[in-house]
Amino acid sequence: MTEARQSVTDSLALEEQQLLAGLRLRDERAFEQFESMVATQMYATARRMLRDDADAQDAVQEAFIGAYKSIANFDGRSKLSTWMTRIVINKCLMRLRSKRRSHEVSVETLLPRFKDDGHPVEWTSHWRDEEPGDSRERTASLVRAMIDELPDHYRAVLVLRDVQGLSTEETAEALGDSPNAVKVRLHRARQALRTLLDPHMRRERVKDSE
Amino acid sequence: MNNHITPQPAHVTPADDMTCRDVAAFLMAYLDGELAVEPRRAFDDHLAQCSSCVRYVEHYRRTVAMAQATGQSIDDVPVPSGVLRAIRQARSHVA
Repeated sequence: MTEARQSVTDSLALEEQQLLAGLRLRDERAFEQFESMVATQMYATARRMLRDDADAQDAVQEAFIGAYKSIANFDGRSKLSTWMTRIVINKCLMRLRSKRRSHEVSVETLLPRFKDDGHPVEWTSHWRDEEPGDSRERTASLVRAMIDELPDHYRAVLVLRDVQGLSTEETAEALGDSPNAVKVRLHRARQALRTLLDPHMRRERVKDSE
Repeated sequence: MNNHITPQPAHVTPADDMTCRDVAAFLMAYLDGELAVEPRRAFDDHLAQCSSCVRYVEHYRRTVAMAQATGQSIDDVPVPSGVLRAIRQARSHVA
C-alpha cells in the first residue's frame, strides 16, 4: 500500500472510531451522521431482500433501534456499515422466516445435475445474444424477479456480493459466515440463478416472440 | 436417483481429468483465478473439447453480470422521512 493510500485509510479509520465513540456516548450529531451515512444503503439492502417497501421500512427501523441498543457490545473490528448490514440482514431473514414462503424451493433442485460419468443430465441450452440498451430495464426486472425466487440465505449472499458489490470478507462479516462458506454459497446461488434465468434466456423463446 | 452433486468447497483440488461436473463445481474458482496451474490447464483442455461447458461458463458470466447490473439500475431511494422520524423518537427511549 502506498503511503498516500495508507494515510487515507488511517484517516477513514479514525473518522469511524470518532463516530463510534459518539454513538456510544449517545451524541445526537453522531446518530444523525450515522443515519445519513448508512440509512439509504440499509434500506436498499432490505428492499432487495424483502421486495416490499413497507416490510423493508419496518426492518430498517427495527435494525436501527436494535443497533443503538447493542452499540456498547460492538467490538469495532468490522466497519460500522458492515455491522449494520448484518443487523438489517438478520431482521430481514427473521421477517422472511415468519412469513414462510410456501413456494420456496430447495437450492439443490436448481443446481446442474450430472450422470455418474460426470456428463450433464441435460446439455446447456443456447441463450439469445445480449440485447441493445433499450431493453436493459426489462432484463433487470426479470433478473430481480428471479433473484427473488432464490432461497433466502442464497439470495442474501448474492445480493450482498454481486448486487451490492461487497467483498467476500465484508459479506462473510455481514452474514456471520467464513469467507469460504460465502464462496461456496455464492457459487450455488449464481448457478441457481442461471437455472432460473435459463427458460427466459433461451434463443428459441426470442424467435417465438418475434 | 444418483444424478446430482453438491459443488465442492473452493479449496478442494479438482482431478487432472476434468468432467463437466468438475467444470460446474470449480467454475467460480476458475473465473476468480484461484485454480493452480495444472487444474487450470485441465479446465481449459476440457473447455476446448466441450461446447456445452463453454456455453455454461458463458451463461454463468452473464448471470453474474446481470445480477451486478441490477445493483446499478435499482433506485437507491432514500428512507421515507416517517421512518427516520420514528427512529429518532425510538432512540430517545433506548437506554
